Amino acid sequence: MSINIEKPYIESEYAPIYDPFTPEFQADPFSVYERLRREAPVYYNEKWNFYALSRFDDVRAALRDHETYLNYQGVDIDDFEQEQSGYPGMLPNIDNPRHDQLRATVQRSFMPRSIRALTDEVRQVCDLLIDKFADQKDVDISADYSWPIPFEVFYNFLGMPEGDIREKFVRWTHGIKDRKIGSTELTDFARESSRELREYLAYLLRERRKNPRNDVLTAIVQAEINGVPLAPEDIDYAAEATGLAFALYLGGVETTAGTMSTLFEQLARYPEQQQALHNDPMLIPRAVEESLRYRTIFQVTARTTSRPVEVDGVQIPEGKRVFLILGSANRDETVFENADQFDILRTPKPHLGFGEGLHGCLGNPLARLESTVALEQLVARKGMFELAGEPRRYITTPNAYVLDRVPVAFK
Amino acid sequence: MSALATLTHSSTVTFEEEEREIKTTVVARLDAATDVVLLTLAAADGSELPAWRPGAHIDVLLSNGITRQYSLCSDPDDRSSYTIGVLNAPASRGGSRYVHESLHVGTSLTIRGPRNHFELVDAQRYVFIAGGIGITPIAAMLREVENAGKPWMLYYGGRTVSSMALREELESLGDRVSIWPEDTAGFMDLATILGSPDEDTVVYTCGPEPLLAAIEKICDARWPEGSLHYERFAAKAIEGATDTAFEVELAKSGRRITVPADKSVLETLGENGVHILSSCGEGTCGTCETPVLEGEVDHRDSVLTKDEQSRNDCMMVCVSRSKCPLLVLDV
Ligand code: HEM
Ligand code: FES
Repeated sequence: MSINIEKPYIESEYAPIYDPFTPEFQADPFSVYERLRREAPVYYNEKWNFYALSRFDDVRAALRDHETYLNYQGVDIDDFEQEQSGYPGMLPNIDNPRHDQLRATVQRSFMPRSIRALTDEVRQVCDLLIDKFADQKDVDISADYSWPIPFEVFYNFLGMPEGDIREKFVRWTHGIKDRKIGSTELTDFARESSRELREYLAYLLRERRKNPRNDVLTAIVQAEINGVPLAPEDIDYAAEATGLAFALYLGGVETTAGTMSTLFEQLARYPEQQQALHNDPMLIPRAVEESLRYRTIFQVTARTTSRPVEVDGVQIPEGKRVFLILGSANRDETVFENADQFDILRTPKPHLGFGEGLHGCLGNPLARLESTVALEQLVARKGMFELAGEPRRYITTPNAYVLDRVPVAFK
Repeated sequence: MSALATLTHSSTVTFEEEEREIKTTVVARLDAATDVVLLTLAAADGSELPAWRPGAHIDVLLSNGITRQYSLCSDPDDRSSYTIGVLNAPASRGGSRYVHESLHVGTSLTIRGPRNHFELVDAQRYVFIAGGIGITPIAAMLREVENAGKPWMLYYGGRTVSSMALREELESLGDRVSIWPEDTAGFMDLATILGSPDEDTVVYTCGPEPLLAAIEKICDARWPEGSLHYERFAAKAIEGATDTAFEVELAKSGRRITVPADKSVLETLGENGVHILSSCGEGTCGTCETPVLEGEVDHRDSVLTKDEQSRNDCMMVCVSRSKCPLLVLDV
């Protein structure tokens, strides 16, 4: 098969190159991406009626063209009914002008300069967790380290109450992402969790209005856009302010936990790269970037075309869903040498692990800080480690590739 | 940032009088052509707006902190509203993009002015030449000249027919209007248009720099002094001056790199193998913040406060530039 120029590649019998809603695909997405880039850079899937872009330059151009590619139908590739995302305030799913206004209300809280102030706190969280397994040889570096860090750091930052109620947050966080592999619908557990979480966030916002604090929830409840308060008198589960808080909640944990899990999983496989970090801890930020590139936790995002657009000589009509496969862009061999190899020493280059442009990840400075400090502390306090069992895939939306178990053995 | 962003008036440097700010509301928004919107503004309190003559422009104070100037293109006798035309240049950041995406019917907007540096002089005959969004002041002039019963011609060039605002209204004025979409008709034939110099005719033009330069050349050589009246719009998104090249020094390596006029610091460093983390690319997210050791930054972001900007110790390299020939970055 050769690269088609005039027409998108169309499946005949349903033996799809790319169907992200199948277990076969999810088992090995990267080899599928490689075929897409080579054989069908502008791919059309008839069954689900979507287009997909997979080459770095195409994906990047689409991310930056926020007039042709709109977000109003959501960035999730499943949940066609937008049960979860079809509320006001869901930042990733909002187009301009509202997007920029809404994002500006929380942007300053997430700027690198604001996030840097959290460094010591993040270090403390990491140290406490390492204390718990300091004398152990066998550790699940995902479940016992990568996941608890963002749970703790992010909830504090957002302004979520502490204590036993945190267990409920953990349940909701997993709950809202609950899916059945192969299905495009939410599970009942996911629906229930979303509703409960929304109700609770609305309650917290009302609470913060009465008792303001120095946290993101307070920033949301106090925000004004062009002189008009963002939050209404009576904040309920469907309020725009609640939606914004929900979007942040959704974005803050799994992605970061997933990135750290990948980072440690890959390092476990390459002792010489671990050694390089021990020799020169200045390499740590590069290792974090490489894990973001290599696995691309948020593998794919989606847009809807506002007008016909031509990509690689192929016409995509107006009103079509287009999947932008970030995970494929980050493995594009024309951009990254030896792209399928995890290599913390590769020449640094911009990747699309956090997207780019208007909807580029709001939380990227926080995610980078957490991952960097987590690796710094591990390198400073523990020795080398190797894989001691099969890593486990976290069950989540088909947009993401996340691990939740990475058993390792320390030397 | 090279494309024509908006009508900015390089001649507007002095403030002749204490101008009051007027609170207005967008009362109409019309997509007039590809990437051009016409916005009609009325005083928020419903009062009459100040009088103006064709050629005048107003300052629009955008809430993202940028002030931009736009020519009025409505009917001066109608004091209930002003209409401006705004081009959304693909490369523009901040100003016109902001207008396109954020200003809708009902949005409040503060303006200053109007001011006029492009007055219509009295003459026997008029030749108008407009390029692209430069049609806006010219359109107001045509109306006045037409009402005065003076003979005139309009030559109006644009990239494509669909990119030319007000084209249909103008075409309805008959064969004194000549439309030149580049993609089908090519560039305007200036040599012919300006082929018969005449004491009693004045030439008014507004448009992009290359067009003005070509017209100026012909008029200087062949037309009586004072016949040409023009207004330029700068090829730049922010506040008038044109971008220039400057150097950055990377303190950690001592390397010096030249940032060309049409590239950002971020892009230039990237091309030289120095990758700075970035995300939005338009000065709104703060990801690309880079410490500055020496030099004065021309801040163009919309994420730092005025205070933070004035400390001059950092810059958003995706958009900000330099006010001096050399910036030293802690990179
Ligand atoms: C390593 C961890 C993370 C990864 C890989 C990641 C990835 C991404 C990506 C790829 C996008 C762009 C989506 C698109 O273009 O459609 C995005 C957007 C976003 N992320 Fe993250 N993210 C991470 C951490 C976080 C954190 C910690 C937060 C904290 C709240 C967060 C909040 C958001 C939000 C709110 C958006 C939407 C921004 C907008 O639409 O303006 N993310 N993220
Ligand atoms: S990349 Fe967002 S401010 Fe520069």
